[in-house]
Amino acid sequence: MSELAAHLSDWQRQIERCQVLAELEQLRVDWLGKKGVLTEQLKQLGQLPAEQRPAQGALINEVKQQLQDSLQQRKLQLEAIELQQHLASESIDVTLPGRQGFIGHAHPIRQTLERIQEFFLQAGFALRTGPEIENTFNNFSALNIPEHHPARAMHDTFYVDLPDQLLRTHTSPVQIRTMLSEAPPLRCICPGRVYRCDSDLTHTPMFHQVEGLWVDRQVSFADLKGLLTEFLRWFFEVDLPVRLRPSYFPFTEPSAEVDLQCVHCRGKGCRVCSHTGWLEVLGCGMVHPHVLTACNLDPQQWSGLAFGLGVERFAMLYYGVTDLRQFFNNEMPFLAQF
Amino acid sequence: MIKISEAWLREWCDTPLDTAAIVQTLTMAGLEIDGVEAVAPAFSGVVVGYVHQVAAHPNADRLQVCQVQIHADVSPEKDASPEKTVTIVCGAPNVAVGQRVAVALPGALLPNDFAIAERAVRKVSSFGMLCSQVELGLAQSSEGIWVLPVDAPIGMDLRVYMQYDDQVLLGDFTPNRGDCLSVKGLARELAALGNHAFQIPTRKTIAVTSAQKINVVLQSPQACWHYYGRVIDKINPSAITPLWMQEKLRRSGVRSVNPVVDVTNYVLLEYGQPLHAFDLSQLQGDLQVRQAHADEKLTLLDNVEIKLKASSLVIADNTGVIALAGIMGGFSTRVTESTTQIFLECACFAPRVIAGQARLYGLQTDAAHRFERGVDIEGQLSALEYATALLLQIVGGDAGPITQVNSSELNTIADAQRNCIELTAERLRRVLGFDFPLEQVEPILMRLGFTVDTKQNAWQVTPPSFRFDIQRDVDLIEELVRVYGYDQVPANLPALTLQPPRGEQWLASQGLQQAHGLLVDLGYSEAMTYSFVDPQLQSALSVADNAVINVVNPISADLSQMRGNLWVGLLQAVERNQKRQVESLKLFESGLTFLRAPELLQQSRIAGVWAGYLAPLNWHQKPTVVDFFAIKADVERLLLVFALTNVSWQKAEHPALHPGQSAQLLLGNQPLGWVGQVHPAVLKAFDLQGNVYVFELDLSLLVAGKTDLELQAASKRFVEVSRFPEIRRDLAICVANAISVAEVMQSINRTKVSFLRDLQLFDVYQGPGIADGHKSLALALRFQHPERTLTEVEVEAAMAEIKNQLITQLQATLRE
Repeated sequence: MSELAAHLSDWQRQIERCQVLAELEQLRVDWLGKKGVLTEQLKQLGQLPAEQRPAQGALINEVKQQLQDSLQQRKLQLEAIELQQHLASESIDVTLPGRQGFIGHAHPIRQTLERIQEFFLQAGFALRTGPEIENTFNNFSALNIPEHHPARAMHDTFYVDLPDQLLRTHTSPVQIRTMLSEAPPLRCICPGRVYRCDSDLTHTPMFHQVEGLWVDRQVSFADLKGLLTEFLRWFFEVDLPVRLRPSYFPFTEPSAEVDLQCVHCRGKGCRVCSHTGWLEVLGCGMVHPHVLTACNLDPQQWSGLAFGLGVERFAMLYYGVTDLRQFFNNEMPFLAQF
Repeated sequence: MIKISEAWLREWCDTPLDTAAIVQTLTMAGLEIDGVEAVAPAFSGVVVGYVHQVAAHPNADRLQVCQVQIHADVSPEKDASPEKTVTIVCGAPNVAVGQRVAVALPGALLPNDFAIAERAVRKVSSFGMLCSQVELGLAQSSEGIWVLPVDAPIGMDLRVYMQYDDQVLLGDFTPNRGDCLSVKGLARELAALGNHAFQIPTRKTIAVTSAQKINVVLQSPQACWHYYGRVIDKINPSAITPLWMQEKLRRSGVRSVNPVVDVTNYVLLEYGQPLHAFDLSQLQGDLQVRQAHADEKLTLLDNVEIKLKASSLVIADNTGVIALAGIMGGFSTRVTESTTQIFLECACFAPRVIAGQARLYGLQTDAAHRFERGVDIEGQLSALEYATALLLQIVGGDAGPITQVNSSELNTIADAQRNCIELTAERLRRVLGFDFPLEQVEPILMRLGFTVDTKQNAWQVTPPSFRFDIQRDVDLIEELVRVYGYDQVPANLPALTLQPPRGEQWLASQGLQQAHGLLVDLGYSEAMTYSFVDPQLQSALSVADNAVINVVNPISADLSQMRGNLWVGLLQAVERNQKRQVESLKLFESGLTFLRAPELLQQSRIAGVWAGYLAPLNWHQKPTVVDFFAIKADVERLLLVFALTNVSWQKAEHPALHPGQSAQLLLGNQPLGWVGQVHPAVLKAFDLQGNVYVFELDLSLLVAGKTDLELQAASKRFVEVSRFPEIRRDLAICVANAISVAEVMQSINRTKVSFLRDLQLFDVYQGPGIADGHKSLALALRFQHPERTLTEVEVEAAMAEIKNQLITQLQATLRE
């Protein structure tokens, strides 16, 4: 029936014009719902003469099928459009910062300490710590620094109001404690705070040291040189020349200062190295027989190597910090850089 | 720091090395030269001139016109021909005929880029300038032009005459090398290092022309090894120290005082032997070298009276103490402008007797510095003779015979200092770890002044009289490798046996590292503050006065007490940051605290502070100030690191914390630490703004959790996850405000319901609908059985039991 066909094209135009899902649904109900136009026509099929029914039925069903397809197609289109619009409405500025809390920073001295420790822990040195208020035996006498010896004056010592107690001037007393309590062979490093009565541009009254000790049947000066050369090159991540220079510490003999070619100017001479081309970075030596004896070790059987370094100096060189005192000001603009 | 003139050094050591090479050689042998200084600023074109005539300037009252001879080939005393003199206009009032002066000729360049040219001064042409010491950059002030000694050679370049191209080496020597604290000593060392000639100047013996003598009684033979002295009579009190000596003293950093004192200082600098001159007219009777009697007094050279300690060695005459031996002379017997006869002391005191004594009286003297490091035992006679010769040359007079007293125990002393040491090739190899060339052992030691008896692979070695640091074979080994060159030592990479980390210290350090890492992740930055703090701030935090430990010799009053907790430093750091407009921050620190409890207690703690807002300034949330539960959450996270199971939070008061917002943490029944808001009074004392919350925990207790292997094992053990469904029931109750949430939770947990898997509080409410003094709590309970599905009946029974318990134990009412 051409009437139905005419309706169909009209209906399909309506479907195409429809912009809203709810309206589309209304069209479906109007046409195909329980009381829809087509549904009504199908119901009325029975009133037609029997010979017309199959053809008319087929026609209605075909129209119905086409309408359903068109409706479905349009529905998918409208759903897609709606989703798109919905997503568009949820669009954000992704450059807004994330919901960040405070960002913490490990202190540069801590990071330097851990970096130093990393090397020696991997070389099988054990970590040993000790008290910061020490007795004079552990801090001086056992280290071959008798009372009134000029070497004691090298350490400007803080004393506290407790008999025979002072603020340790180096972490060497931990080595004494270790040698007294553990049996050799032993390898240890002793990090920690130390105190000297000195405060100016290049000294703070408190600073950090890492000292190392290796006592064994046969450790030598050549071992010491090899170990420290490797350490310095590892720490500063560059294979610079390292030199040992004779020095004096009461607790080692032979003793040496270890100089690293200036990391800043590579030996040409600059402010960082006071125009010498070298940086004094470590003190070291072979443990003095008096120290071994004070720790009940026979110097004929045991030898030891020892070294010590100032952590602040390493941190300053490593990060390029120029004012030592900044480490203890604890100002966020400084800390937040590490 | 010692200053040594290079030119002076070269008088004693004939070395082909230039300055840089000398510095390198000494430094690399353990005698560190810290720097090199010019002895005079750079200038040129200045010569010695002779003022032949002085006439008034025709056009200026204050100026004079001088005729100055500047040519070497003219005798100044004769009239010079005009072509040998130049005309120089001079404004200095002290210019006079017959003076030898420093003349800057046209073309001269003086310090500060002051160029000299021939120019007219008030219409009189001036050929250069007569110089003052200021104009040459040699002094800060001077009165008129510099008048040179009468023997200054006319026409000679002033730099040559004064050796102004000399340099001063700044030595920073270690205390074991007292023997290098002199020109002679350092020259001897340099000669030995480079195998150069060490040239000891020949000095003629002094003719004794006076019989005057002082007797010396040595009462402390252990403390004084040698005491030499002599009288010099009839000296000229108005003599002045010659320029060359003044100049050498200046280059060594020593001020010129008077000729006698200058000579003693000069010999000290050149020989390293301290001397002292007494005014003979002030001495009464014999001299004694003895220990001080307690409470004896002495007025020192600088006119300061000290009360002597019995540990001090003194020189005394019949009237009492006249000098602190080896450190400083006394005021009453000092050499003055009127002194005409002196007694010159030249002694050798034992290092350990002088050591520490100067510091005891707050003194620092060149003599003490050398004696406490050791002065050549055999050096007294030559130094005394040299000083006498210099004095006779400068102040004249008659030298008396030498008084010489030696310690009765000299043999034992010398044996102890210079004992014979055996060195074996085997030890040498073992200590150094490489094959030291054995044929070099003897020559190196000989060059250093040691006596060596070479055996088969062994050496018997005796150190020289000036070395006090050679006691054992390792000392000899250091000498050998030092001269051989540390550079020559091979760097050997040792083979290490495996030593895996373990033990308590390792676990503790791991725990600490984890705690640090967590706090950084939670937004805390690590602070490092001084262990000594301001007593006022510490008392503001109510650290008891009798519990604190004081620094006896602090850097300053505000760094004079050892910290009793970590909050002092952290709060100061917050204050400093607030002053820098950092309004919110989280800081932590770990370290020792120091208390007298009543014995010394050094406790390892970890502490944190949170000031300002919950989050940094942001766009999504209005600024909300930090509160108790924010910092509590961080502390709870921290506790998790250490797997401690029996930590409880107790409401408790701490004098530094807000009484309503502070909690004490207990581990079992041991105090573990505190968390809370900082008390307003404390904020005021630290000058802090806004809300500040802190925590502090005893790290050793925390770490004990880490090193308790049983606890650790238990915390690591896996518990099977139930496959059966979980049932959630919510419960709303009302309890009195006085009842804490912890009590409610504990009450629920104490019921016998074994399958209550989880209990969460999800609402706390007070206000309309809830009776005054009460609060409403909403709890989520999750039930789950490990082995079967729970029935509705079981869960209802459990809920009933829980409700009943809350009603009967806590007088709770149900809100359904």
